[in-house]
Amino acid sequence: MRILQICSEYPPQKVFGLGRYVSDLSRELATQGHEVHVLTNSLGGVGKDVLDRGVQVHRVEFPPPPMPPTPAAPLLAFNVHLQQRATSLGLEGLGNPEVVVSHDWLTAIAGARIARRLDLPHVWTVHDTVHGKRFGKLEGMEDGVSHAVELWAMREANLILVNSTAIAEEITRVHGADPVRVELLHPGIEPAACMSHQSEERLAAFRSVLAQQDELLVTFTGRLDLEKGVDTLINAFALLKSRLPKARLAIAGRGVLRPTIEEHLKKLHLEREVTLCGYLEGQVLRSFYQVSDIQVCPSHYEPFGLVALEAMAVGTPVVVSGTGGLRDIVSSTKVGRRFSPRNPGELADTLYELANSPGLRRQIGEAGRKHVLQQFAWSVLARRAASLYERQVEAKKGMAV
Amino acid sequence: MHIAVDCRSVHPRMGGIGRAALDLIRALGARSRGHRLTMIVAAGYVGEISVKGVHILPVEGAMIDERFDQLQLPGILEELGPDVYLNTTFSVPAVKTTKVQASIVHDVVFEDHPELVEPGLCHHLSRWSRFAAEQADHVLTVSDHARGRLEHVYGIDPARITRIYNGIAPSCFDDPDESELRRVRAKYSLPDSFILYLGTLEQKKGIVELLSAYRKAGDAGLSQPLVLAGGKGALGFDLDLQIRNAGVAGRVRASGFIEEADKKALLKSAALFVYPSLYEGFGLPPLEAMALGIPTLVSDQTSLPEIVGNAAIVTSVHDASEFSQALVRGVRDEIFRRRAATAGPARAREFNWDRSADQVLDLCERLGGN
Repeated sequence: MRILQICSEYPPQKVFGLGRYVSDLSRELATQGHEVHVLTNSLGGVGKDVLDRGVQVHRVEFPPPPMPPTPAAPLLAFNVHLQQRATSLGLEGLGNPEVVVSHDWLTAIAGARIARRLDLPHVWTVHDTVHGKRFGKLEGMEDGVSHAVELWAMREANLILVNSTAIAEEITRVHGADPVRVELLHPGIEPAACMSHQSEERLAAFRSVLAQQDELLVTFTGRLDLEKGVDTLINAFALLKSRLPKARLAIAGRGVLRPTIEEHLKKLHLEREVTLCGYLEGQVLRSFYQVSDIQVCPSHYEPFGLVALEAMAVGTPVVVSGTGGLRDIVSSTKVGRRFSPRNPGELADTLYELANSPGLRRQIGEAGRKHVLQQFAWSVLARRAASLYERQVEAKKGMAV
Repeated sequence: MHIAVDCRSVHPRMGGIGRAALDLIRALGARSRGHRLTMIVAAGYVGEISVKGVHILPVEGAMIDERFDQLQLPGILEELGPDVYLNTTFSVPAVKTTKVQASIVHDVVFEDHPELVEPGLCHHLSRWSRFAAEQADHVLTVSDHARGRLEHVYGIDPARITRIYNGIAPSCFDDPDESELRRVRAKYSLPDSFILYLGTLEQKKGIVELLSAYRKAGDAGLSQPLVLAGGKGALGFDLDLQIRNAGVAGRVRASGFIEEADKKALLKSAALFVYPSLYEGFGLPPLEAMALGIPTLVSDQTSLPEIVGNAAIVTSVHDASEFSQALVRGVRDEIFRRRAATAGPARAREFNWDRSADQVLDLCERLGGN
C-alpha cells in the first residue's frame, strides 16, 4: 500500500512526542513493505527532505514570519503551506498515495483538503483532545480554534483512529463522533530500543545516585504540569514514607510546576528524600527505568501513557492512575496496579503493598514486560494500522466501481 | 575523531586542577591534528571564554556536581556524540554514552589521608574515582607517584593507566618588569626580603609544619619575614590560631587571596619559595617559582621530589629541625641560590604542555581506534 502521513513534527524535531510516533509507525510500515511518504514541517529550517529508513520525508517551512497575532494562527497558516507543498509535489511526488493520514488538530485540515483534492480516503489519528487536556474547560481563542477543528475533523474524516478506549469514549459520547467510523490503534514501542545496554556495575552506580541499595526507589517520568499528577504522587510518597522510611522518590522531567514542586517538598520536609532529576532521555532515561523498583504514572489526564509502556518493557512494575490510555495499558492486576486518579491514600497503600513484596514486584514486572511486548510492539501495531488503512482504500475503490 | 574535554574546573578562582585543564585544552586546540575538540564549561562560572581551535559547550553543572555528572551529562554527551569523553576532575558518568570514557585522577589524597579533605568532597571523590578506576576505559594521572598510588589503592591494571605530566605555560618563564614588581609590592605591602608560601591555606599544605620550622629557624637567627599568600582552604583551618600557637605572630603575614595577574610578580619578589605540602598529585606552584629562577624548597612528600628533581631543596617536613635547617640553607646557601637561577628554569622547561597534549592525543587516537 502507498501511504501519505501528514504531521506537525518529525525527528529530529521533538515538540510533543508526536513526531516519534509518526516516525516509528512509518518506519515499521516501510519495513513491512509499504511505501510511506511523510509531509511535515522544518521548524524554522531544521532538517531537510530525507529518506529516513525507507520513509520519504518532505518538509515545509514553519512557522512563517512574522509572528501572527494569535497562537492558533500559525498552525492554520502551516496547514495552508502543507497543502501548497502537496500541490507542488503532485501525486507522483507524494508517491501516488492510496490513503492520507493526518494527526491531531494540528494537521487535520491539510489532511482533509489534500485527501479530497486527490480523491483519497482521509484517516484522522487522534492522540489527545484539547477538551480532555483542559478537563473540559476551554480557555481563550487558541483552545476554541483547536476544539472547532477537532469537531470538524470528527465529521469529515473517513476513519478516526484513537490511541485509547478513553479517547474513543470521549469523542463518541461527548463530541458525538460516529462510533462506526472510530477504531482503536494504540501507539507502540520498539522493544529492542527500550533496554539501556549498560552493565550491571554501571546500573548499580547510577542507582546509587538516587537511592541506597536497601532503599525502595519509586520513580516518575513526565512533564511537570497539571495533567501529569506529580502532586498526587508526592502526597502519596509522604504517606508511604511515614510507614516505610527506607524509600526514595526520583522525578524525571521538566515543566512549569518545578518551583511549586520544590516548595511543596520543602513544606513536607522531603527535599532530601526526593530527587528532581531534570529532563532525562536516551540511555540515561532507559537506565532510569531499569534501576527503578516501581514506576508511577499518576496522571490526572493521560491520552495514552507511553512512559508506562517504556517502563514495563524493561520489566519494571508500574502503578498507574485509572485514567485514559493507562487503563488500556494496565488492563489487569497481573500486569500492573491501578489506583483512582487524585487519590494519594490509595496510591500510598498500593506502593506499600508492592514495597513489602519483592516477589510480587518481580512477578508483575515480568508479566508486564510480556504483555507490552505482545500487545504493544510496533511490529504488531503497524500491521493493524495497515489493515485499517487498507479497509478505507478498499471501501473507496468499491465506491468508485 | 571528536574529543570532548570536560573543563568544568575552569573558573575565575580556579585551583591547580582548573589551571591544568585550561592549559591542556589550549595546547590541544593548538595542535588538534584535525580532530574536532569540544570544551565543556560550567555556564554559571565562566563568562566569555574562547580557546583557539576548540568548540565551547556551556552546561548547567559545577565542577563537583554528582547530579549533573550522573543525570544530565550522559544525555548531553549522547546528543553531542564525541568519540572520546575526557573528564579532568576524577569522575565519569555511570551511564556510558560515548565510545570511550577517560578520566584524569590527579591524586588519591582522599584515600590516603581522608582527614585532610572536607568530608563531603572526600566521599564524592573517593566514590567516583574508584568508579572511574574500575569502569572507565582509561585513567590518566599526573605523576609517577600518583600512578603508583592509583595502582595500589584501586588495583588498576597498569595497562589502563597513563601518566602524563602537567606542563607549565611558556609565559611563566618571562620575568615581570620593574613597574609590575613595584605595583604588586605596594598592593600587598611586601617587605624587602621575605620567604613566600603561595597556595591554599589549609592543613594539607603543611602550613602547621612550616610555622613550627620557621619558629626554630628564627631561633637560629633567620630574620626574613614569612608571607603566607592564598585563600582559606578546607576544614575551617584557623590560620591565626596556628600562627599564635607557633609563637611567630608579628613575623608572619597573611596576604589573603592572590589574583592570578599578581602571582608572577609576587613569586619574583621572594627570597625563597617554600612549598611544604603534605600531599600533591603534581605540584605546579614550586615549578612556577623555579621557572623564574627563585630558590625553592619543597617537602619530600608524594610527587614533589619527582617534580622538582635536584633543582630545589627537598626536606622532611615532619622533622622540624631538618625543615628549619633547610629554610636557613635556602636563604643563606649562596651556591644553591646561584644554581637555582639556572637549574630551576631548566627543570621547569622539562614540563611542557605541547608534549603533554601530544601524549593526550596519542592516547585518544589509540582508545578511539584511529
